Amino acid sequence: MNPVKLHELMLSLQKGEKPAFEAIYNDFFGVIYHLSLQYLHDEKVSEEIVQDSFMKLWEIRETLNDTFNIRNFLYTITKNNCLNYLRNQKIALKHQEKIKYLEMQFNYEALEKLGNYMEFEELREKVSRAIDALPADLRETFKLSRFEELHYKEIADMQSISIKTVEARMTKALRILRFELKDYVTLICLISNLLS
Amino acid sequence: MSDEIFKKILDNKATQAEKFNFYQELEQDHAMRELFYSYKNLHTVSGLDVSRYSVEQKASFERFWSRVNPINALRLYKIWYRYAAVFIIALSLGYLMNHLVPVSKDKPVLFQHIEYTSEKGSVSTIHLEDGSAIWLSSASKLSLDKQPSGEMTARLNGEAYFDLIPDTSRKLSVDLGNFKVRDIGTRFNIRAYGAEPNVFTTLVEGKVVLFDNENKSLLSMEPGEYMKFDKKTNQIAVSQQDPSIATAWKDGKFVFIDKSLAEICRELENWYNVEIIIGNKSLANNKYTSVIKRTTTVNMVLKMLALTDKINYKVTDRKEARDIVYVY
Repeated sequence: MNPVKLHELMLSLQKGEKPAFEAIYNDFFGVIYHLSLQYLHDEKVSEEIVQDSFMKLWEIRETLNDTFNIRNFLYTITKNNCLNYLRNQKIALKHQEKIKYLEMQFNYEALEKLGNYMEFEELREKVSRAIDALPADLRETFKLSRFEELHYKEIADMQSISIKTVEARMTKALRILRFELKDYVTLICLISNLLS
Repeated sequence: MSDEIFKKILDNKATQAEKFNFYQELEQDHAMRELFYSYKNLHTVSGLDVSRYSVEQKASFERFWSRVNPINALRLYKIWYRYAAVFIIALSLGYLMNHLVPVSKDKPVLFQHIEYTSEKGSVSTIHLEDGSAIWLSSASKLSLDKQPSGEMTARLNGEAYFDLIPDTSRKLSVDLGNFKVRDIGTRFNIRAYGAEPNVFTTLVEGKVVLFDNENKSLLSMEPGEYMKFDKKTNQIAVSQQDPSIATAWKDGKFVFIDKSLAEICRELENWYNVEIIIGNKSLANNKYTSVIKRTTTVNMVLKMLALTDKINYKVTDRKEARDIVYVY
């Protein structure tokens, strides 16, 4: 965003104007809702957490200035909200629902390790850069399989190619990703598991 | 550990049993745990830009907006209906208080009318603003209504445990259709499943008074007393029983003392979300006594019962509906 526009946006947010908040809401809703849902596995609670995060932004709107990093703020608040929720819920569940308790316990620990905003962004960029760097045909096949959760047969039909070609593309895509993301080898193990 | 399970866990598609095994293994295995953390986080991050969600974003924003800005939304009226506006705002505030007061599970609840549901196989807790708590058992529904006078009425279909902080200013009664239970700072358990012939109230601590629908006091209970109400005959019977038996569900246990197989099966159905059919009717009235952890699988519970008596059972998995257990 250019500095003039950013300045206007910040002024509008400071004044509590609806269109500005709506724009910010739309921009960040997806990321923080996804984040909450992954660790809480509860759509209602996740939406509630998203709303709470934006409420915090609302509360501090008068202190906003051009250098304020809204992404960082929302990420940190949401992560903390999720950690608090998991901590409170798991205490309540400890003696009642072992499975849910353990799930919350491990998701809590995983979320703690997701790191601060910088680390989160860095990881996010690495992953998406590696996927984007794939040749177009491989990337399309890879995304259909990983994100749309389609079977090879369905992908083959959609792309009008044979199942053998889908398999070949997946193998190739994985070989490239494995090389590009060698610091994150576990991701590759995971992705290959997802595809096998 | 198989890759298949890992994928199912990350996609949140594992069954309860699979989750249980998986998380138990994580508890034991440090390396596996570390692997899980990085898988989990990478799975989250790599799905960020492509995930689809069912929540309506526009509606979500409007809800947020009405929460932070309830009055602004009504300013339109100001110019033409200056006097009416005062009235509308007053009304709307009442409305907003009723419907839009934020309810987060972390925070104490401020409410007018709220309904809670506990799914089969889970126990939920409700925290009231004064620090009191209510546990809601499996397959139960509880609604709470607060009158402007501060008086609260709870309606229950299922089983709940009330742990209420003594407070003479709070008036809470549980409306059970045929009668009401009024709390006077206490801990008590009520079991009132719509489909069951009896309602049970167990007093753990403090005091409760039972009223009929004309607000005539029927009886007051002492700690350790156990009240059974027969819905058909309207008969009330009070006896002594260790309260920990009635409240065992809250601590993750089934306690069956001299319970018929039919009653036990109903309990298992509610908790495990299975359908149990007793093929041989002569078994239905056999009595059992046992204490079983609720985290035990339904297969294990049946195995235990089969050990003590000549019971056979068969489990049929069904994809489209809950599994059927046939006992014969």
